[in-house]
Amino acid sequence: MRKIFIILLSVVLFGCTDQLTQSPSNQLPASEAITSVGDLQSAVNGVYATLVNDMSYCGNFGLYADAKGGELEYLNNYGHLGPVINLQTDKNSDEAAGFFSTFYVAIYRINDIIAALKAKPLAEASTPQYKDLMGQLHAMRALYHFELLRIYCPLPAVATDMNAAKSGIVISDKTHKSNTTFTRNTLKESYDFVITEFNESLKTIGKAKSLGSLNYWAVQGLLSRVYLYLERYQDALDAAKDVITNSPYALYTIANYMESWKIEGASEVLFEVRTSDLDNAQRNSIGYYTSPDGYPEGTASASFKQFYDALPVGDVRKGVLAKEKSTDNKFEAFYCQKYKGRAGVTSPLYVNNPRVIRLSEVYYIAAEAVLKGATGGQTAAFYLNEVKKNRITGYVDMATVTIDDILADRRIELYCENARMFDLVRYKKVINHHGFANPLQPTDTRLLVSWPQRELEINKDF
Amino acid sequence: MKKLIGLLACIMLLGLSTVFAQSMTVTGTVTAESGDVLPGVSVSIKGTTQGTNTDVSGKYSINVKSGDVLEFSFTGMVTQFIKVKNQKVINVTLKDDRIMTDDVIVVAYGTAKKSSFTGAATSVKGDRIAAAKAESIDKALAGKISGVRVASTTGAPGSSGDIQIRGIGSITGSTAPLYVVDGVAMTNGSYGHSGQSQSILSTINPDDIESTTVLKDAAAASLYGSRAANGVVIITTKKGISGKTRFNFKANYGFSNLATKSFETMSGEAFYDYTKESYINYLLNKAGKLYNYTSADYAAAKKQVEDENWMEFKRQNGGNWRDEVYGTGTDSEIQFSVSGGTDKTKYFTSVGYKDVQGIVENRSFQRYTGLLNVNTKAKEWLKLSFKTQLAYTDLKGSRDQSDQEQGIATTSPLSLLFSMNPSEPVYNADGSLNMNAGLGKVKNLKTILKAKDEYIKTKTYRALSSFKADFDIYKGIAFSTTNSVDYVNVNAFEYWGPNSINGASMNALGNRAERRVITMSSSNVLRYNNTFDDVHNISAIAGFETQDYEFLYVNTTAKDYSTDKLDELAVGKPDNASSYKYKNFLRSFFGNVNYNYDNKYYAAFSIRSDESSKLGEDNRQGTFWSASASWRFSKEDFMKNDFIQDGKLRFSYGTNGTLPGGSYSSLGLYNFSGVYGPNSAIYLSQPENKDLGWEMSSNLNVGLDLTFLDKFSFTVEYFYKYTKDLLLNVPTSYITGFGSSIQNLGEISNQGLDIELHVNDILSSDFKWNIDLAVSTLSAKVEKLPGGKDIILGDGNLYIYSEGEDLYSFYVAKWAGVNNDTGLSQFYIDPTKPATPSNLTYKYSEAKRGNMGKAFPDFSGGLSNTFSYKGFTLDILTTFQFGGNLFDYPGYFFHHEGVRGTFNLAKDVEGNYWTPNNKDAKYPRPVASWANRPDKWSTKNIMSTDYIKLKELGLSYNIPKHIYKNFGIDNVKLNFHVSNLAYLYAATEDMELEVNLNGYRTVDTPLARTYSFGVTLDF
Repeated sequence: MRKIFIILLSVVLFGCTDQLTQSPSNQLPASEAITSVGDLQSAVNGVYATLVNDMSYCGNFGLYADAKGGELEYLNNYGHLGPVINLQTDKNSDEAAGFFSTFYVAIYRINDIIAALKAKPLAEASTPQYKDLMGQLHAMRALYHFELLRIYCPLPAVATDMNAAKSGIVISDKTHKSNTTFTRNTLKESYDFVITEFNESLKTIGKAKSLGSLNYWAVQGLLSRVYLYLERYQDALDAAKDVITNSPYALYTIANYMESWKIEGASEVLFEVRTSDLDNAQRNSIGYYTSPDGYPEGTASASFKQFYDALPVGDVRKGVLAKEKSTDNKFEAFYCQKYKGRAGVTSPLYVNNPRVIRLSEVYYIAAEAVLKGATGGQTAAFYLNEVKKNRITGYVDMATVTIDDILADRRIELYCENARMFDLVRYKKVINHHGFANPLQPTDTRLLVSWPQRELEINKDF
Repeated sequence: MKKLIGLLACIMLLGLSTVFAQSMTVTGTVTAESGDVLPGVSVSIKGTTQGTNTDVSGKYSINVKSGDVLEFSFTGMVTQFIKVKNQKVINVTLKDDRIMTDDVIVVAYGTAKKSSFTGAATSVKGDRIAAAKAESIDKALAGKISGVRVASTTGAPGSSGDIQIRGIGSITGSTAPLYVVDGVAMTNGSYGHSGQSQSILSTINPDDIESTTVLKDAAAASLYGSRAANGVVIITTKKGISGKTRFNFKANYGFSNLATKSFETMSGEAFYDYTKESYINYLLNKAGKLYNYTSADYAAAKKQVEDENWMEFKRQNGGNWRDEVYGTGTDSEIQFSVSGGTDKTKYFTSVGYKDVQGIVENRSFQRYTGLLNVNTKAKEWLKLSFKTQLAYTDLKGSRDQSDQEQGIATTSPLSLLFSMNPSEPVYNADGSLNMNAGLGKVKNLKTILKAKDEYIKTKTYRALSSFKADFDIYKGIAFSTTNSVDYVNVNAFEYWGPNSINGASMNALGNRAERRVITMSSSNVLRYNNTFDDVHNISAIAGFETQDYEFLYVNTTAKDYSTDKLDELAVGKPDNASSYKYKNFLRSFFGNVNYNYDNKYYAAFSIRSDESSKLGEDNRQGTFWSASASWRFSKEDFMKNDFIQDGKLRFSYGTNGTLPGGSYSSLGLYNFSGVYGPNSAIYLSQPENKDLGWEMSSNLNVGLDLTFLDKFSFTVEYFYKYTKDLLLNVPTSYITGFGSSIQNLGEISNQGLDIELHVNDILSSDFKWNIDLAVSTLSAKVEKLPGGKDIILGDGNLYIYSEGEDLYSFYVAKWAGVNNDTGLSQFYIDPTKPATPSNLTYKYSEAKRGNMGKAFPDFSGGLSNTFSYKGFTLDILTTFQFGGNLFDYPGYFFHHEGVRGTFNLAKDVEGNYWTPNNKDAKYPRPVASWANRPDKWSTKNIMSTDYIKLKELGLSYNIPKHIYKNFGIDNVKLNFHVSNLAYLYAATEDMELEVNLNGYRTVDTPLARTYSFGVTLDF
């Protein structure tokens, strides 16, 4: 009787569908979300898109090693990049939680996609596109673990014991229930995981140029960087050499160097994160920080300016710095010219693709590796000369080069590309930072970002 | 045929017993104590549905039989029962019942006599709500009902209220009550543009409200089941009265200004000295001599500051910037209503207009409303009611901090005020704006406040329509069905011009967002009502209800405008288009039985089963119940005395629930609206949680009601509410892919006393004095948390929840004040230990945070005194609260201790900061650009909110009737009203202490004091 009553009313008032099962109009459960390789492509895009935020390459992490490495000053501390320049990346800082969440959330999205594909394999699992996408997922997983290692742990060069318990990061390679708590792996386990994942990726990832996506060459380049950090110079050279000799990428020339910053897919860029007017880090972007019309928190430091002034006149990279002031005649200083905006966009200060790895860096890696004893390649001088002659008009090749020669060229070439502090620490050099009376030691814990307070509270055994 | 049906109906209605009873007609006149006739009084035969109303001259006529009991009831009057013997004429005088002791109150799915109600509920008449002149009903309840705490999220026109009934219902779940309008659960909440407080409750015109009942305990509220854990506010709109057509016209006009001396700034001269001092200390700090310096060091630093011309402005007092920001607003209102009808069909219709211009330029709220209520007795056994409530509101404003996220927007009024250099005049000598007056990016606040460049305009349309049919089926058995559609459309338009602070980098931004909510509901109730042997009174209901909710969001933006002269999106380049829809559905069955023996012993039981689409398939159904009893001991023979007229003990216990806020919280979902470069991107947006269930609360209530010495009415209630399976937004490791997840974890308790005292006509003379006092105490504790671990929530980790501690506890460092020798702020390293030298530090980063006090008051309430004499009525509402604190977020910016060169400072720093000549000052030496940041959050920003406040003052005068009687006018009333008049006592001076209920003082505009004058005409 009751049933009849209900049915009658349901029919009359709301039709007889089962209204108690509802799902949103713009979202789908995981099992229904990825059912074709096209969906998988979108899901992989979704992982890349995680990096378009203010705590990634597009924002504070994009200038992180420059800020801590003494290359940047602020005219006004708006509290965005200023604290990083002041080395204020303690456990309560925005960076502590922001870098952690950016990279671990991206990693988790990868894990969830891989788990979903395992639970419900796609029919197209043997196609090249599928394999390429899987390769990209493993490559990203390696890269993001590596970034976390660079941010939170001492670099291998200054680490006291790679095998010490909890000396590394948490390796995250599967899905987790939301109330899971974690403990850290050793530094060695963490780096091993990075290398394993990069190698896993190399097995299937595609070799074609693909704007905004990782490919075989980008992975080899990144892998050579990791090997360099681990002081595995022969491996570093082998990987770098592969890119230099076999990849379709070409070094910028003197003619197109400055122009390369205004376009996507420039000839040297192995991997860049795509930003657009729709999706960017807005006022916390690398472009906004390095403009007098943005937050002028990333102007050239006096020591960088001094170094820059000593560059030869014919060096096209002299264009990397320029004296600017805001439209209302304020904040006059020397600003980096790399992130003035992609041509044709609405918000130029917001839309700049951060270059995660470029071919010239791979040349530097090869040069360093050879200097450190790796064999089977050209001379160190060859690799460095290749870059420099594409930068300096009338350049005369050097016969021999030193580590300091390479670091000096990296300093100008990779300015505002998140390299400087890591370079100095790798060679256990002190950092002469304008904000501090005494030089910073490479083991100074302020050069690391502290584990975020919230994670320490959640993961009691971190 | 008609006759036959009529006869049948007659038989059905009256039963066989009527056949033998002798029918007769009784007539009479109903008057008030004042002698005025009372139209619209309900005259009915007790225990039946037969009845009529008095006409315009207070006369009635009804068919009865000997032995029937006639019931005369009228809102605001004591109901009278008269047994019919052989009288042909029964004239009745109804007593005024201001305190509504035995009034009929609207409760869940029906009405109840206050005397027979076993639950905890308080009713407030519509005129007391309208008198508050608030934009929405929640704000109008302040201080009028015990156990109800009310605040405004901001002082801007049209901003939403914040209301909690009997404590804090949840930690991260909802704490808002359910609103029921004329039997229909109303869509509520903020659907405004993100970043701006807006309330769709403000679409209900307070003037259309006949009465409001707040249901507080389980016995009163459990019939609303899964939505009632935070109490229920039942709103009844005005209905028509038969007889002569009555017109009512009301007009009010008022003006407003800032109610408190909040946000006074340092003068130009003082700011100069302070800034200079901060530079000197900067140099001393740079030289490593901050803590130990000689007078020679100081003199050298001072000389450097002077020689190098560090001070870029003159030591002089500039313009009064505060007056430029916080000016005078206006508040005007026109209400017109018509009601009338016949015995069979009655109607009430009204139109209302309200216009509030805020105290800050270009902030305004306008509302146009219409109400039509038609009731008709289509048949002896069928009553039909139609209602349509229409509203259109137009809100103009800007983003605010009502979300309590950190940050002070550059263009917010308060930021503008403190960004102006106090040494600069507003205008140049030639009368032009001084465009060099800013400390930061804003050159002169006047240009921004003009709001041609940046604004949000929100237009809200609402149509709440319902249709109700009541069938008398058989003696004492009735069926009613209420069906409604609630349509809300909120259209927001935000514009940042190409020259605005926020829009410059995008060359303007336009954003149109539409939020449309359609809620359809159907409520069907079978009722039974009977009396046996004159003493056994039984009433019962059984019901079925569905609610279908749909939310549609459409958002479009354009950037890069081709001109600054037009703001429409078509002028820019298309940037983004997006839309999505949420739906949820609720299906419920419920029942309730009430029994009373001889109006002496009462018992009631309610049960409700809810199924919600918001929950996982396995956890979708919940059952809620309550049991209650009361004993009207004053009816016992041994209690018969002259002192106590009525006395009742009440007891209730039961359960309620709260549903998750989101429609799909249990599902693991991929979001499909992402982009990567020009390509689409999908990503995991929500973790799956199949076990997600209700938040469950159990609720105990023990009450005592007393009416004594004829004029005192006193109620005291103790409540204890225990809530478990909290919908807790538990912080999770980001390694799980999410920073938090909603889980049913944790337990909290709320307990306290609610006390109300009403005194009617204390002096028993022409000079009438009435008192209404409502006082509540509250203790709200965290009982259990997952794993016993503290939870730290809120932006900047402001709140800590630990077992055994208070809810809304502030989690900040403990400030030890200024060291008299060094002049610098010191903090406790461990805030739980005493201030020994080894436990004090100058370094903020070394100071641990601790639980530093709670937001909610230990006790709070309101006292209303009403005096009337010969047509004059003076009503004074005083509200008070003690034992709570606030977190002064704006204070953090404006006591910046020198580190924020782009902000002026609060007035109380002037002359009250440490200098070698002022070593006992409260505030420290300013140090510019100091990385230590001693200005960060500490107990320095925690303030007591103890206060006694003159909340409302109303004076009205009924002009003697003889003056205008000949013009066909029935009544003319003049009134004057002030809200937020003054603090009689304030523990923290020169600050608005009425802040959000969680004690967060935002950077938004505080409350205004409004003076308004009005006239009311009845004709």
